[in-house]
Amino acid sequence: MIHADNKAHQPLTPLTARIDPRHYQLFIQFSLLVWGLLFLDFVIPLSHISAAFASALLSQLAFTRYYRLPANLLSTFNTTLSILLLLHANHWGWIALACVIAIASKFLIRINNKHLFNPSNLGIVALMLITSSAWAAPGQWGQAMWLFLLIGGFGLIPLIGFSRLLTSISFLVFFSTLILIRSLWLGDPWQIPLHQLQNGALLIFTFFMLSDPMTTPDNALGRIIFGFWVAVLGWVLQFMFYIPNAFLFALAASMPLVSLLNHHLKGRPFEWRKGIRIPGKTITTKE
Amino acid sequence: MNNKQILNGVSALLGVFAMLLSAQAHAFCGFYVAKADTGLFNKSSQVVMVRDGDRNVVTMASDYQGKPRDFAVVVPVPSILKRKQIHIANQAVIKHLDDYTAPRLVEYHDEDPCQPPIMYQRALPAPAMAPRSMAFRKKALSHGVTIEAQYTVGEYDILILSAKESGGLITWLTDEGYKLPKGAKPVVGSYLKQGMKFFVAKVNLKKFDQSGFSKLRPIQIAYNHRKFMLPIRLGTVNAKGKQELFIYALTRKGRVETTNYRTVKLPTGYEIPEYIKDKKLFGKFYKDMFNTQVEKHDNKAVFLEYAWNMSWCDPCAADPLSNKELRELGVFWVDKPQKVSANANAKIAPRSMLARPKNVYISRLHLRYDRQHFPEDLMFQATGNTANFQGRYVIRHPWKGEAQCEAGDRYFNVELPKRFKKEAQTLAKLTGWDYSAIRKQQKLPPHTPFNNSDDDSWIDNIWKD
Repeated sequence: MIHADNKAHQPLTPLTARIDPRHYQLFIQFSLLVWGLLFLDFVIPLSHISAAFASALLSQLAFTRYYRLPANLLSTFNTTLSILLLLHANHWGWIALACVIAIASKFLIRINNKHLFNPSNLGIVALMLITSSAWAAPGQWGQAMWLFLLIGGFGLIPLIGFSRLLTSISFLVFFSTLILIRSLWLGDPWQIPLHQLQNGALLIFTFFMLSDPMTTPDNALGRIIFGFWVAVLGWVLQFMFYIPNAFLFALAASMPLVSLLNHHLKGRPFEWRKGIRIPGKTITTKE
Repeated sequence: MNNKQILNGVSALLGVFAMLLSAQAHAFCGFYVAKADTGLFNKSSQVVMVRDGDRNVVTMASDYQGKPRDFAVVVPVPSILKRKQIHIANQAVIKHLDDYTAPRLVEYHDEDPCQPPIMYQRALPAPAMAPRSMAFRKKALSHGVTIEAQYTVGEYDILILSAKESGGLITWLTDEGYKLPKGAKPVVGSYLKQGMKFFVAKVNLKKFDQSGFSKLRPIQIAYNHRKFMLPIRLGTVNAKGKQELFIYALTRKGRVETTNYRTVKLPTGYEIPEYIKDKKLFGKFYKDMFNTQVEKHDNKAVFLEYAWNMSWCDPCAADPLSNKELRELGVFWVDKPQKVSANANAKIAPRSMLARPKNVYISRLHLRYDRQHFPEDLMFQATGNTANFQGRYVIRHPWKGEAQCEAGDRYFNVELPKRFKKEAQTLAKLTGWDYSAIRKQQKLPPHTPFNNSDDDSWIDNIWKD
């Protein structure tokens, strides 16, 4: 696979292998934020943006200092942008709290030397559960950006490898299938399932949250199973319990499954290429 | 919309509504002068949705103008409704809600460039909108159709139907005089499979005549269901042009937004030329601005026109609704207005002094939809977003008196022409109107150039060579 961390192989690897996927992700996320602010009528006050970055960076620095770890700020930026792209609040304090929860969860909620929750997902879901003053707006991205998001999403393949992106792909395949089956059963025109799948927030979730290789199963089959499970749960919550933002809740609720899958299906934990290690992590990432 | 018979009729511009404000208008927001009503739009429906947890109260009003006997409503509902879950509302309350949330025009008067400011306030009448009617006839038979319940509520005969399959239901409805548009079958089938029932109503002419009302009143239904949605698909099957829908969502905590379509704010806060103050022109402005915005967003957006806590407004296009009115719309959590018993000598506060609710938040959404751009029913979520928003447009009246000073010259020769130009550009951009035509409508007030009698510069030159 492409993401060899082995220094001996590095000069021979293609350009994509030398790009840290987090930089790529940051680029896409930043473009989305700018696009949303300029063209999609987003209202994200500067106070929210600064509070998000400040609180995330400070918590990250505090925790890494406490655990005597390198700062690893790149992932922190990813998490922060992920929260800013999906979560809204009446006050910047809520956004800051979401970021603190997200970062803290990486250090405090760990199983087998791996953090359990997808940080930004947990931050967002926790806030939605704690207060009505924070909410995710699944409609805000509209349907027009689906192609860009799909291309941007698949752009991760050369960077982290098809195998690592299997959670997202499996989720998308199974979720689409469920939606299509439902539409066929209801006798709805094809425009309806298409419209549901083109939802920008769903695609951002799929490729820029669910894809997080640190919190998805280590084993490729495990990732397929995990994607399938999140799809089923998300579908049930959305279409049988009519919960808005079902996919966000589905992911948070499914995280314990990752440990279970890792226990039964062995695989190599992911390591960011030039990444900084979190304690106990093995470095063998070559697949 | 297609058959007149289905809810969502044809709209018209009706009466004229005028109100004067008390002098409390806030300087920041200028003085309210006019509002634009939903009645400006053809084929419009208004729906009030009260939502709290899983509790829903939906009030449906269309602008049907035909004969009552020709009117019928077919609406998918999530469950079998009991008699007590159905109610008839007063159209005036919806009218009030419309007025309260309507985009508004406010005005400022320029001060004398040579003197301290004087401010005027005026209120202008604005166009309003109308209720409508419905027809009645009823038999009971079955094509695999179960009549789950049957009520007469107010002037309506109402049936709650369930069916095994859409074909039978459609045949039965057609036989009964409910003219469903062609192509309705798969849509009806889809709703049936989703476990929905059909609420159908026609006007009971006898009751209607007895009622003394000249217009059909809005129908309300109250139910418990987690699903927060508005079925729009039946109205789009026949695709004869687009339909206009106004949704007034009332919640306890904050804004309502669509989860499967973008909710976009109407442009607001712009200064537009003075002549738009004319009430018809302001109506046209709102309509054309809305048209422009719909196109700008590829016909796919839902527009937020107002979002505010119901306890106040600034400036007010109409007073906030009273608790009594809110309860009539189904806002069950506000206090009941105190009943005045005949023997009670208790002092009764004037209406304006009665406690206004603080925990009612209104969002007014406006969309123009058709099948192509709105394939799915509207799904909503209630958020905790309490930021205020209103469609508000500003006119600034130029100073029309004498201004014999240097500042006056600058005001009339430089500042005003510059401002007029900018206002015209804004108006053209917002509405798509012709820029040069706008420019022709703008009249600069007459101004006599400043002749400074205290000017002593002539002295400087007397003894100069």
